[in-house]
Amino acid sequence: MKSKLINFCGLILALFLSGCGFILTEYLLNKKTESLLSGQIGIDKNSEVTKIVDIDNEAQFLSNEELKQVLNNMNAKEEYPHEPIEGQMTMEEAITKGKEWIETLFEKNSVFSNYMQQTYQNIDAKLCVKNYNNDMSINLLNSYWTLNFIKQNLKVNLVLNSVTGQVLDANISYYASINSSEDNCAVTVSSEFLTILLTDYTLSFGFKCENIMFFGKNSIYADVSGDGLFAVAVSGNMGVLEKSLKTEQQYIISEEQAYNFEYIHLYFTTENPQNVLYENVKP
Amino acid sequence: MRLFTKIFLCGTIVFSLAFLVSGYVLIQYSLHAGMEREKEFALKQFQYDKFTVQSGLLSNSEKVRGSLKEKEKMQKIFAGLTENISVPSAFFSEIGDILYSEIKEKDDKLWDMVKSNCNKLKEKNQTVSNVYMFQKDSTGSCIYTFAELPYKGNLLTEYTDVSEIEQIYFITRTDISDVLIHQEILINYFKRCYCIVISLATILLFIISILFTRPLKKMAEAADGIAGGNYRGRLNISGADEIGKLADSFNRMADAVEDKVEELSLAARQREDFVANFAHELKTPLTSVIGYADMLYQKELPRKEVKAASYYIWNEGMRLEALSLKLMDLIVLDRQQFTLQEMRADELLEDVSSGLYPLVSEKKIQFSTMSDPAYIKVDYDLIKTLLLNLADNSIKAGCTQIKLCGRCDSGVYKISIKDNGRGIPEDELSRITEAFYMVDKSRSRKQHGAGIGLALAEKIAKIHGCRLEFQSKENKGTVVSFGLPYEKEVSEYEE
Repeated sequence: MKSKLINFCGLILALFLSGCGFILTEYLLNKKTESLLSGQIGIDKNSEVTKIVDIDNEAQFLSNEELKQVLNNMNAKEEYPHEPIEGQMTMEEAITKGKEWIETLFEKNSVFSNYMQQTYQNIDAKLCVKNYNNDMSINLLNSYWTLNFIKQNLKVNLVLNSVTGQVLDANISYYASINSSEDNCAVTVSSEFLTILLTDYTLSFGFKCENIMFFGKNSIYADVSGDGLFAVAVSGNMGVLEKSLKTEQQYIISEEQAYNFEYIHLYFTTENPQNVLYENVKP
Repeated sequence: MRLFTKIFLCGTIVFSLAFLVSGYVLIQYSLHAGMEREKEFALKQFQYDKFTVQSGLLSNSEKVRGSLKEKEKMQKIFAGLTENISVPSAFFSEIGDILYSEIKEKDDKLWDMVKSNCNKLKEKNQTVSNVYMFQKDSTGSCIYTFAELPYKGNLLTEYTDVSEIEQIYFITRTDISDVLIHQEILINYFKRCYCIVISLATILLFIISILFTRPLKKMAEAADGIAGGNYRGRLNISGADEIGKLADSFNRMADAVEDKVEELSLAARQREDFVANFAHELKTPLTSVIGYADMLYQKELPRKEVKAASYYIWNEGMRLEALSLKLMDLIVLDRQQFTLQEMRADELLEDVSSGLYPLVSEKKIQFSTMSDPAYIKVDYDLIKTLLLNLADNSIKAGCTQIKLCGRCDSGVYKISIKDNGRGIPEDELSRITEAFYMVDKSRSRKQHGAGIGLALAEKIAKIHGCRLEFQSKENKGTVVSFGLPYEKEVSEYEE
């Protein structure tokens, strides 16, 4: 009888301990959750970044090798925003640089003169690093200021090197009316115009523009080969570039009048243009 | 506590503990990973939002100056700044004035929280930039992120009470309730799994405990049976595991116990018989001796009767003497260690023949010997005693012919004594080597026999590693033989 009682107590004890264990686990989990939500402050360690590459702050131009490295990293998908560190431009300086570049472009090209008078409706800026190392150190060559300038009928997107302020990529989108001749926003883009833009652009990097080729919708595809740096200016159906071409066109039709949504894209690339898209352009 | 209960208890506790610890670790890890993920996302987004606000303030500086004295316009400006910010945000001046707030938490409480944390950081000489805090408040669980936006100039001077503002605090609130809801779901799911698994484990442990303890129970029952006298009980448990081996060992032990008990029982029975027979053999002649002696003592008898009584007393005395001598031999054989020595079998048989010659001549018995030469290992005295005993039995059986043979046969030297006496009944053959057993008691006693001769011969044969074989037919005769291993035959040179 006694042994039966002991055995029964043993069974009950086993079940009791199982139940208690479960309750204890739940209690510990809830306590842990509460402690996490207790309001203890923390500082984002990633914000305390340090630099690992020195670019000469006084240099106005990136060297060929530096430019190649910068361009190779620029199209990486993953980016991480961070505050400017020693050697990099502040937001104010970057915006100022961007404005200067736009104004210079508009001054030199009368087609944009109408836009000069307009005020900026919005300016957006962000500093991001691509190919980011998790050890909180950044390569200054991988860090870029991305600026958006918006005026009436004009959007300019610039990607600047965060140290020298050189415009690595410029996308200028603007509305141009194709019907009204009185519309001051009419802009005609021709291959000669693009050539001038490209020349000025490459000069701003300290390069001499050579071997300019241009390509149109009905032009014969020119075989491009070799590696190197390619400066490209593209607009609508045509483009001028050193060894590369890309075409695209969009139309926006409104009720009142048709607008031709044009864009000019100025950029450098290290990719062999033969590897880049050429739809609709091959003979 | 029974083993079954111990196994069940330990198994349940261990299993339960393991499951709970694993569950706790996994859920904890999941929560931690989820919170980290939310934190990283919130901080990354906060940096983007900070850029948006900063660039907005820079680009709208003139518009802001134009709306300095109007709170509503200021609110609109900040609302415009936060238009592209997806989470509720707020702006405070460095003295705690609310510039703009979309966060539902009470403003003063929010400011207290920001101010106290900022002060803590400044005490440690740390900058207030990208600071985060997990918080559970009245509206739910969230991450507050805040930073000082360095703002140079007196942009907001006329709006606030200070002469110059250098800092604006920017705060965002990111709801992370989803993480906690997910945690809650995980815990509930874990609860259900735990209940189901523990129930199944309980049943499984119950079955396992029974399976493990059942063979042991059977062993205990078998052991009880053996203890109670049932030596035939065995375990029917097979398997290559420890329990199977234990059952095997148990069965072997039971076999050994049964054999030993049988052996002891047999020995006890034999001892009992021996004592009984001995007592009887002793009592019988003593009764006669006492009777006759008493008669001689009590009465005056004629010479003839005295002679007869004296003869009877002498005869029984001789018998007792023969009995005691043979008993002594039996005892000595039991206690002594004998070393066998090699000798020629044919010479041994010749010696035996010589020893028997006077007796067989007297009885006019035809005695012949035939032996193959070979070397055998024997104790000379014992083997001679054996052969003389057998020959003596043949003579007592009333034979007229005795043949003593020794032959080599497949590695065994077979010695046999054949007579043509009255023989032994077949049903008596199995008992004739028992001590004190006599086929014909009256005849044996007349010849001073006590029924110990063949028991002695059997013992001598056993010492030599062999057994006596009897072949007999009533009124035809008896052949007694035994085989000794022989080492080698005698070479022609030795002959």
